[in-house]
Amino acid sequence: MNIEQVDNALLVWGPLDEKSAAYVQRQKRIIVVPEIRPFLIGMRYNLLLLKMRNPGTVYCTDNMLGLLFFKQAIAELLLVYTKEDSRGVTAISGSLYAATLARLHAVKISLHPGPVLNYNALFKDADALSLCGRKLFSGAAVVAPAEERIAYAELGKYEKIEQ
Amino acid sequence: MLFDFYYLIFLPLPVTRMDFLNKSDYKTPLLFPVRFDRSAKVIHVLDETRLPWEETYIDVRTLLEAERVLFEMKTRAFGQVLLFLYTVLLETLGQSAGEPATTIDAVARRFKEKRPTFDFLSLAALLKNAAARQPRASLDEVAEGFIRGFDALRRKRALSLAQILPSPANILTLCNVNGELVYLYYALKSLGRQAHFFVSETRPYLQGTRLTLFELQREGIPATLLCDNQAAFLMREKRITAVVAGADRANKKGDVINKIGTYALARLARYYGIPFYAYTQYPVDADIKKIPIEQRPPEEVFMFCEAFRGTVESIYPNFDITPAEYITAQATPEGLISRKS
Repeated sequence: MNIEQVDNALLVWGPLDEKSAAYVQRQKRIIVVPEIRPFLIGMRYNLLLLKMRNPGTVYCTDNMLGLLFFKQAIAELLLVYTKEDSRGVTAISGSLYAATLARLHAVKISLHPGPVLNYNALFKDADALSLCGRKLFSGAAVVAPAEERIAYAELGKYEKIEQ
Repeated sequence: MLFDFYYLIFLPLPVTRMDFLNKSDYKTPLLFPVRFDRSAKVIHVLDETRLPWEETYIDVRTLLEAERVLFEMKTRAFGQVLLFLYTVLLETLGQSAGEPATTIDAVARRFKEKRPTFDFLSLAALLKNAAARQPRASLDEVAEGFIRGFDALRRKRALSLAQILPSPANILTLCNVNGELVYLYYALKSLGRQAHFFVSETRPYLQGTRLTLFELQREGIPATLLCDNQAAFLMREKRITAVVAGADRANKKGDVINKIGTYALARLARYYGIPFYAYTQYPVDADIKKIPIEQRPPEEVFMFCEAFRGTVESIYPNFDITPAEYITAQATPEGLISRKS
């Protein structure tokens, strides 16, 4: 597929479950599924879940989000979170990257509760030194928590979707 | 005037830094990834797709073979400049005077078909101008002089950039700029400054991991690898003090085209108040949005995870555009340039 064919799309960030996948399926839009490193949640989890439901999905790497936002190809970011409190939400690693880029491009952010997964137990890729379950490189890698906190203030405007 | 909307930051090169400018004992093969053996009429191209696991060279003897290694991204960035120059030399061997200009243009057009975003046509013009200025020199000598001159400029722009980087310099980077971060490290060191590189892996080809991390490690330079999406987390944690990227194309307005992911880093850097610097070549007078963005075969997005290839539609734009407003300064062969405020 050509990037010019991606338009008015829903970007999915975070692991889907039945409810959030149903929300995605109801959108009559192209669904953009980034890989979500290091665990490859997009490739190894979301794609499989969405394939059963058969919406129009487009796969990309995380570093392509900037260009997609720049080209105004994304209409909505669905940010899947696991915890919330009065100050913000907790969501999978990389959520701050996706949410900040969405906010900087005035793209609608929708928050959806999602499954609590033990990433480190389920997926072997804990950092950038490994990929698809194989440790490919040696050296120092950023040690980041599997989930990160995002304050509501960092999201700007957002909408909560409660199913 | 070379730069319409920018002004040059004049920083005299410290004379005491000649040790850095003359240093030659680098261990990275990426500074000069393509070499030409004239007597054997063969170009040796470092296969960058095999790094860091194997350091092997591909022999190129024809224009067709050169096009193939170019399209398959066996070499890129400065490597494709060298490949262009040496392919021209290969093709002009035995030609009489007057013919090289036609050959230079022909090779540039063929190369541009394979990698449409890189400006081979301007490179061809530079080579022809250099040849015209030295009528008594052979094209071989002109090309070698061109390469030596370009390398001297790479060192000087590393030193220029080193002078304005914050100290300590915790530099976030992506993809690979063929040894220029190694130069930057030694330039910083010559100024008595500390540096640490945070290398974004640069999916899907992992040029950040396979090339930049590899060459920094080989030189013993402190470096930490990150997933592309961890940049915002590191910036928020104040662990990054500057972002340095390369650029495949730049225009006089100050916009750049570079590896996919550059724009996101520039936007995030601006948001978190971190300076963003781009290494650029000779900027052209062009609307950057009209320059074609190379789109690779979509299945390549599953690089290193081939089991998933073909399971779903995918996209692979190889570059993105970063507007001038998000670039703090450009390190060019002419010196550092910054936007007029």
